[in-house]
Amino acid sequence: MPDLIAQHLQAELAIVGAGPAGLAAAAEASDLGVPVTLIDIFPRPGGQYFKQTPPELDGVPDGHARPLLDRLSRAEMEVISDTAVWGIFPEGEGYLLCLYGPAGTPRRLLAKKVILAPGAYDRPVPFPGWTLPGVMTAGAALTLVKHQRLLPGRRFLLSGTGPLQLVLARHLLDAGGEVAAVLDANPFPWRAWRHAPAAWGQWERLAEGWAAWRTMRKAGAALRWGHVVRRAEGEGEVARAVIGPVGGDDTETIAVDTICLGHGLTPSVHLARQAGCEHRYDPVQQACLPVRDEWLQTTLSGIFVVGDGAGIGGKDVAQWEGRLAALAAARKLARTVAADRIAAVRRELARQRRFAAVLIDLFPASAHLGDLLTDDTVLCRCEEITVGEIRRVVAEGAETLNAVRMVTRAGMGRCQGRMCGGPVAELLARELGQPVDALGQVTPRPPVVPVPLEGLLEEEA
Amino acid sequence: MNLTPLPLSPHRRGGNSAPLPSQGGGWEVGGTPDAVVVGGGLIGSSIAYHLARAGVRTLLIEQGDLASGASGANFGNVQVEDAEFGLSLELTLRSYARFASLGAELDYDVGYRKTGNLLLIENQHQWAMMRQRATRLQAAGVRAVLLDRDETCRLEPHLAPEAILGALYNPDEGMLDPFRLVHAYTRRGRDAGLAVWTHTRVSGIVVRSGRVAGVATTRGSVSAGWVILAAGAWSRELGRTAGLDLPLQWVHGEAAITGPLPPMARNAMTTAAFFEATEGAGEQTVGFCLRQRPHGNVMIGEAARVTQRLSRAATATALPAVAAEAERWLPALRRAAVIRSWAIPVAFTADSRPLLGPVDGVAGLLVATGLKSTIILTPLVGELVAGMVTGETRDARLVEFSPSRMRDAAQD
Repeated sequence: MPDLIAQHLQAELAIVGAGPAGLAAAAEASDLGVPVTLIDIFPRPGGQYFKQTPPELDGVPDGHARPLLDRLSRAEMEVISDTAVWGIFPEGEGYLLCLYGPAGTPRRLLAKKVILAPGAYDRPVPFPGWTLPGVMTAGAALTLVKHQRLLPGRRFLLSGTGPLQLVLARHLLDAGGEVAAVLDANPFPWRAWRHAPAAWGQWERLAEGWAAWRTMRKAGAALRWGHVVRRAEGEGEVARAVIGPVGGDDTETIAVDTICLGHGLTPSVHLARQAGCEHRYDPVQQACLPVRDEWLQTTLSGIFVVGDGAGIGGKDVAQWEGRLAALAAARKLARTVAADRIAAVRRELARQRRFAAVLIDLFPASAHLGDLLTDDTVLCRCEEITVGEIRRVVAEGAETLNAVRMVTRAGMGRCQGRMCGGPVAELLARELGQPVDALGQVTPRPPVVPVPLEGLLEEEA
Repeated sequence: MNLTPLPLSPHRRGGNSAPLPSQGGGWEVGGTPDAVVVGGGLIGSSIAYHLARAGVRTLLIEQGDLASGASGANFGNVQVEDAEFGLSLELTLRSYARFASLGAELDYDVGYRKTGNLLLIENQHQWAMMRQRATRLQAAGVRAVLLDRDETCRLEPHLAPEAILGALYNPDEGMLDPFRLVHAYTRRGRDAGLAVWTHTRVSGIVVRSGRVAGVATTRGSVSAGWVILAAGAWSRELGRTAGLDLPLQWVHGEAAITGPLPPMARNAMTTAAFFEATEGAGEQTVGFCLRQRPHGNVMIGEAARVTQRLSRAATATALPAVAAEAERWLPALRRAAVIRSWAIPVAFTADSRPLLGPVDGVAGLLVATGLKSTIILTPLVGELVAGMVTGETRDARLVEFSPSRMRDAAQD
């Protein structure tokens, strides 16, 4: 239907997500003269790493992000903010992107090539009491304290793993909060010395970690290795956290009003999965990741996935992946790309990946967190499905994620399994004694984010 | 119609047979159940349950998860109103009578409840059709009544009055959770010795000298004297492996669901336009239907196109069309968050009658698919088909549903 296609807004290269990966891809592509349409779900570009504090709160962009953000004002770059992409469908030689944004936003975009840079979100780790008000993700707490200038509690307990917890603790302390303790589910990283070569040159990050550590020590906050929150208690809100060693028993009760969970990140794969890109379970990342070739192209020709949405690597891996995919897309769009630029981008990407691998090695998602679940722990928050209900249908013969989902409704709510998908898979794997990748995958269906009924129409009413 | 089956395996009851597995996957490859049911949807699971309960050693084989085809992609409606008149309606009403005690029979909450159903009338032509329908339904003992616009809108105040003339109303229709019904059948079936293989594809039905000999699967071959083909839209390809050309066609249907909303629709609703639809191949038609689930989610549908491809892929045009139609009928849905959609091929036959019963020329092969309203017929069809194996189903009128009927007609 050529006349229908003619109605749609058209793009040579659509980039979805304006975090480090998407911004870098946009900059690289426009350097090569490829017109870019950048679509982002947030009102201001930057994503999570380069999140911008609102100007009314005296926010100024992160120094690292400024060059990338400045590029967005270029003539050949169109930015569509505050807009969700709820579905991608093959159309002719390219792809039709379905958009939903504020009044006046185009609803459809026909793109020849697509780079997805969807980022990641905090890995949900359920435990008894995790649905009590006062339990939040580390990412949410960081956004509130750093970008909204709101302290989301008075006395905090941080539980999770990795250096981002220290960064959060520092921000909470600087904002006047009290940090009772920081628990890291992994043992002290004695192995870190082995990784010294990979960390060489990452001075800025090491300095940030060191500064956060010193702030914590001065404030008297304890950092306890190999420990987790085992249970949150309180009447209608968090009043206490029961903690203990990973795989052990309760050892201590700490009075706190806020528990921040920072068990690392999990890639946002919903859009790529809906589009039909093949994904495989990665045991190191403990997540389903898109299958990509050396150009970061997925199993669908012309669709690339870059950054944390293809596997957690952090903001620098994300940027260099974005640049590499942009070079590949430009080549496919018949632009001339210098061989030495490709080589340089690949070299820098490899260096950043070595460092990212260190963090994953030192701070993996713990395999023992499933021990904490009790039959009355809610696993699917949208539909309020408990661990016990899932165990029962497994005992009655359900053997795959889909089977559990269909009978219990776990994962059928608003979040489309973003919160409970991982934990349900891990519970099922434990109950059946099978690896997670043997349980099948649930395919996200359009719309991959909730969209008002009228927002699905091809044009605004 | 020849209902005289092959002799059942000597292992059928008692004797020296090995203990039956109580969990799925218990059959050894190369083992010999009496009957293999192909297709783990509503119909296949009901047949398998009824067979196991009758003491027939039965293996149920499903290519994906249970209820992962059209059985899990519908609105859960237990509906009488759209049945074809004659034997279909008679069976529908007989089957309907079993729902009140179905939960108790299966010892499982399948979510059954009476809600009522409205066939929404938009124009004079539909009004005339529905008036005729009401009379015939009433004659069959169904409490169906024609409502005018005001009466309809009193029942469902969120309906846009300008969209309708009235409705055909049946207070006795209901809903259930189809996933839980399939789960309940296989669960109770397993208690009676049923074996279930999921994620196992049947690659062929094996026929030797005019008799079914078993099936070839991705887990190996299984010998059986009975094979029951209940694979919905996938039945046609499977039938080919036994030399059948089943007169099945497919509709690619797409529908969507909102997040939980306050109560806004008690009845299931469907536009009467479905009764006058003439679908051209490949062309998308959109008819409004709606059902609010117990948790508050509202299902809306549906976009359909006759297709030659077995696909679950969503299309870019279906969701906008479904949304536009839903907004026209229930403007209050305008701001409701749509959280998911689905797409599935659904089998249908040109004469709207099911393919149900033995196949001429292949002894031991039964077909059960192409039902118009599958859920309501599920309990009875399971019993009837199981009875064709055990010899207890003797109703000669069922020849009307013979899978070979269209071939016979073509030869006449």
